[in-house]
Amino acid sequence: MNGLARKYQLMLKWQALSSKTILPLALVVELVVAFGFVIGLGFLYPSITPNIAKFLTTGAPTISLLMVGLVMVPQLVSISKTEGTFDYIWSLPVPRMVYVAADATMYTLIAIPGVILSLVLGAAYYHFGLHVSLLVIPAMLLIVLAGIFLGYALAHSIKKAQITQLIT
Amino acid sequence: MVAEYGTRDIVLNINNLYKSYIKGKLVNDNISLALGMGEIFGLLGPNGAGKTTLVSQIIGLAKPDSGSITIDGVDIIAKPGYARQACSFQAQTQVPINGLTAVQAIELVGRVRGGDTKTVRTRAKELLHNLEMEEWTTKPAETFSGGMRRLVAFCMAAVMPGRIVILDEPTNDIDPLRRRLLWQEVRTLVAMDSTVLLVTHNVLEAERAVDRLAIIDKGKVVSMGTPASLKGNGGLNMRIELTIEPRANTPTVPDYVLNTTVTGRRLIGRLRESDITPAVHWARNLKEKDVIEEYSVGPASLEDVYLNVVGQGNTLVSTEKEADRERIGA
Repeated sequence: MNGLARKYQLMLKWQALSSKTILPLALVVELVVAFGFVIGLGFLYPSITPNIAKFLTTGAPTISLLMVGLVMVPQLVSISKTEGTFDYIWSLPVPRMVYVAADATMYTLIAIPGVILSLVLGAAYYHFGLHVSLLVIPAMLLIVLAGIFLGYALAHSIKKAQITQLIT
Repeated sequence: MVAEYGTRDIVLNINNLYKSYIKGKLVNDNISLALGMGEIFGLLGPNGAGKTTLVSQIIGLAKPDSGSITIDGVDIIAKPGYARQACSFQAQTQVPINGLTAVQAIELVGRVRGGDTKTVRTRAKELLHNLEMEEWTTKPAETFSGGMRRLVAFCMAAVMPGRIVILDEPTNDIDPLRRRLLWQEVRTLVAMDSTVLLVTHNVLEAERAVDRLAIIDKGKVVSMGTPASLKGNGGLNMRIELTIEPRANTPTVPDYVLNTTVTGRRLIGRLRESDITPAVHWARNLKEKDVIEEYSVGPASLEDVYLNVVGQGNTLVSTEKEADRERIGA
C-alpha cells in the first residue's frame, strides 16, 4: 500500500473512532429527515401524482447530502477549531487533501442511508418505479463534495466559531 | 548565532522572523534562534509573549511576515510539508482523542508518522509502561483526567519522534511522580537524536530540564544562553531576599545589590559572591532594627533572571546606572 493510501486509511479510522459517539445520532437524524421529507410531501400535496412524487422525492437525497455538507461539516470543523484539535490534526504529516478526503468519505457514509431510505420509501409510498443509473454515483459524489467543501469554506472564512454555528 | 551555538549540527535555524496578525502589532519581532541536534532548548515567556505563534510558524501552520525558518537546511516556509514530517508536536490545547483509547491514539499517530505496525506497537507499549499508564491503556479517553490526556498527548509526540519534538507546556496538570518520569522520557528523545523545543512558563522545571533557553517577551528574544550563563550574568550569581516588616518602609538598598525587585513585602536583589559578607551584615543590621522579619542569601535561580528580564507585576527599582554597571561587569 502506498504512503498516501495508508495515510487516508489511518485518518479515516481516526475520524470514525473520534465520531463514534455522534455517528449513531447523525444517522438517526439523517433517516428521520429523509422519512419526514418523503411522508411530509403527501401531507403538503394530498392529490400528488406518482410523477410529481417521483420528481420531488428524488430531490430528498440532495437535501440530505447538502445538510451533511452545509450543516454538519461547518459545525464540527468550527468546534474542533475552537478546541484547538484542528490545528493538531493539521500539524501531522498528512497532505491536506488526504485528510479532507477521509473526512468527506465519512460524511458521505453518514449521508448514504438517508439517501437510500428516502428513495426506497418514496417509491413504495407513492407507487413509482425506481431505476438506478450508474450516473447516480458521480452525481452524488459531486453534490456531497460540493457541500463538504462549501462547509469547509464557511468554517474557515468566518473567524468566530459561534457565528459559524449560528449561520449553519 | 552559530559561534554562540558551538559545533553541533544545526537542526532548526530561525533568522530575523517577524509576524503580525494585526497590521502594526508584531507578535514576533525580529526573532533569531538556532537549535542543535540533540539539545533541549527552552522557550520561556509570559502568556501572550508570542511563543505559540512562533511554534505555529515552525510547524508550518502559519507564515511569517518576513524572515526565514529552515529545518536541516530546508526552507520550511516554502515547504511546510517538510516541517510537519520533521516536527512532532504536543500542543498546549486538547488533542482529538475522544472516542479512542490511549493505545489507539498513540499507535495511530505513530503509523501516520511513518512507523510500521510492529515498531509503533512496541514503542507505544514502552512509553505507557515508562510513564506508569498501563491501567489506562485500553480505557476510552473520555474517562481521562486533564493530566492523563496530556500524558497521552506527550506519548503521541514521542512515539515516532521527528527531528524536532516540540512540547508546549508538557507537564501542565500532571502529578509530580509522572512529571519526573516524563522528563526522563524527554531525555530518551534526545538519546534518539531528536532535538527538543520546550515551550513553557514553568521556570523551575525549565531550569532543571533544558540545555539552553531563550526568554521571549512582547514578541522579542530578551535573553538567551545556558541556565548557568544567564544566572551568572555580569558575575551576579547570588541572590538576597528580604521579608520587610508589615509597617516598615522599604530599606535603602546598597550599591552592590542590583536588579532589585519588590513584590509586596518581598525584596529580592542580585549580588556577586564577593559581596555576600557585607550583604549579610547589612541584612542582619536591618533585622536588629526591626525593618525586616527575615532574610536569606543563596545562589541565584533562573526564576530571578526571568523576573528581572520580564519584570511583569513587579516594581523594578534598579536604576539605569545600576543596569549599566551590570552590563560592564563593574
